[in-house]
Amino acid sequence: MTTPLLVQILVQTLIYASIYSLFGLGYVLIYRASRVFNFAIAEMGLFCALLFTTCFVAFGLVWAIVLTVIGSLALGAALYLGIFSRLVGQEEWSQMIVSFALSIALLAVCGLIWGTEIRNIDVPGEKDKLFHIPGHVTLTVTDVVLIVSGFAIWGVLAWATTLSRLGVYMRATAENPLLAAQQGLPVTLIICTAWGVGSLVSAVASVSYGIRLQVDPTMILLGLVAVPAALLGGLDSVFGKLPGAIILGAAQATAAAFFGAAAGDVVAFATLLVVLLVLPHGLFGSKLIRRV
Amino acid sequence: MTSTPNFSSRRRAVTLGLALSATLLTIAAGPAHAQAARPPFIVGFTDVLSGPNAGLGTPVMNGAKAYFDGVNARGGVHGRRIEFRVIDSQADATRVVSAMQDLAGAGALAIMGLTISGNAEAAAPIANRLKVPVYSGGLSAKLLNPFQPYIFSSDITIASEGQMQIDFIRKHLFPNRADLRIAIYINQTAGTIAYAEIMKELLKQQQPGWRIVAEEVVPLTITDAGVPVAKMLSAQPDVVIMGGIDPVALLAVRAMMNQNSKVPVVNFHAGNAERTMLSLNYPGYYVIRQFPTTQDANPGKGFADMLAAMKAAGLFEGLLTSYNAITGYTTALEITAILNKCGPDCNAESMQKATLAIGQIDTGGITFRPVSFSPTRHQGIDTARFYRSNNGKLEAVGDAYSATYGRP
Repeated sequence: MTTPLLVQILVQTLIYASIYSLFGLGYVLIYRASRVFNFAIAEMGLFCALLFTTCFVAFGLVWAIVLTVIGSLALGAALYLGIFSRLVGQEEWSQMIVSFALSIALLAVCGLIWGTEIRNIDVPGEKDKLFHIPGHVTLTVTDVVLIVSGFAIWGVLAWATTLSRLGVYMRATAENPLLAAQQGLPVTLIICTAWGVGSLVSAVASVSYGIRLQVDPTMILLGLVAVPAALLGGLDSVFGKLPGAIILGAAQATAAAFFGAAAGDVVAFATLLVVLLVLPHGLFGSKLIRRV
Repeated sequence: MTSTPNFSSRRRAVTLGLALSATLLTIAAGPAHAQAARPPFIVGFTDVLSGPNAGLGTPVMNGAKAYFDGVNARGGVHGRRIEFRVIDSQADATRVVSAMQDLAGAGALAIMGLTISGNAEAAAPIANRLKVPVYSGGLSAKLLNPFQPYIFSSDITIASEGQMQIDFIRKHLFPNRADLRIAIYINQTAGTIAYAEIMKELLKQQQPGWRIVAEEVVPLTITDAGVPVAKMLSAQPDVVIMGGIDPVALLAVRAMMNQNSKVPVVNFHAGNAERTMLSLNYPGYYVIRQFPTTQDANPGKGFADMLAAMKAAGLFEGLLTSYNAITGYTTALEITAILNKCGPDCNAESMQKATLAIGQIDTGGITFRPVSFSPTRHQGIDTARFYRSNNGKLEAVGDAYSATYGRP
């Protein structure tokens, strides 16, 4: 294996890790606050990326960012208030099935509104300007922005959900909503915030991917491959998302280099299987203890 | 007294006039009423219309619908409307089989769609058994070689494009080079895998000095081509022969550009969307087109009519994005021409016979040469040109090529 290929695998690992950790954060934020494993995260991201393309063409970059941030927050909150708040108290699996149905419905809605064509986001400036790094490997500006923003968002959210007051409230709400409400916590607002921020990070992942490559319905597969990354890091661990995503990204990139691109996804899920057999709660997940 | 006969004769005249008018109207309206009462011709369609790959089948459906809507607005064929009956296959072979059976059971005299070659392979035995002709742009080599009685390629087939790609490389990119390093990059479908095998066979026969130094097969659902492209480029190819649909080609060529590569790419027709070429704007990306582009000067009246129909149907965006919309439109045009020949009492079996007897179908410039079918020819389109995007301008490079391989 040549040096450029090895460096390329490393670069690719970082790119995959950024995207998967962002989607993974979407899964975990929503799960931590509402105990819903939301299968529709990728479709929410697709919806927001398509919204971004429309706003970008109509109003330009700044307004596209503003409107997509507002739109993604509103989408997350609306889905919780409109659907999942009505399922509070139901079994986790039934909420999961509803989220699965929601993913199908959202994909269909995107198709109805925007069609199924490939869309490009041609942001002004030199997004494709190349950075040369040692090993005869190049990175585009978009790659660098994606990697940096992925890591930065993970850092901010890891701090916010573990050390900040909001994080404590979220944990309290997820553990026992009734008790949290009795303590005067605005339970609905906290869960809506988690859904909104979860939607926002998936929007960041999708729009970044769209700027880097393209926006089309196949993007949702990124969210699917991000599921192992989310589980690998621990479903309720924000901190675990990046390490989980790096392990998964490295496994995928290496498998693609050695066994062909088709092996990448197989290896991603095989890695998940192996880790979960050894560590059922993932690398950084909390162990659930039930009194019987 | 004198006025009564006059009044009476006037009344008689009016009555006679009304009766005559009514009779004339009845006579005039008779055939029209009879025509309206005739059941429509049913043309079936099954393809992937939902899920992540909906972008493959949906434009085909939209393009065909735009054409059939125009035909129906002009009164249909032989006074009968064309009913376009659509079933979403979800790219699932089991659903394809049941869709074929449902459409044939409903009396479809032709079935189109089946853009994914694996789905077309699942549909072929049903079409032959139920004797319903299939017109598809997604046929793999094995469905055309040898011919199957009810299977027709409404488009150019990827099996026939390898020869064009080799001819183009030796004529335009590397004239008189006996020692080229070739990389093959394809997406993983039944059709493209067969295409790659044909390509290797052709290279072995015709260019023994050209060496295949890398071969990458990527899934249709690939979301990032960085690693496979890096692996391919590490073999230092002189040229990449690609068999990639638009999203796959976009990802691969973007990854090549991101890795600062200048290696030319020669792709088959499935990656020829105008938007793909324009958004890449990589002058080294050459792709086969069986249709002119919207930037070509006056391709013909048929092409202008197609653009107008697409615009009226709100599909112009889709046209630029996917060649599949044009394929759908052209397939509908072919089916309508065959229906015209088949006659007012056409059924599925006579439709197949009419297809074999149709000879040439003038597309008015949508294709570079007329479409044709015959007992020894089941591939409708066999002429294409190579295009590229150079500084935002789509330009043809070299002459038209005719497919020779894949035709027994």
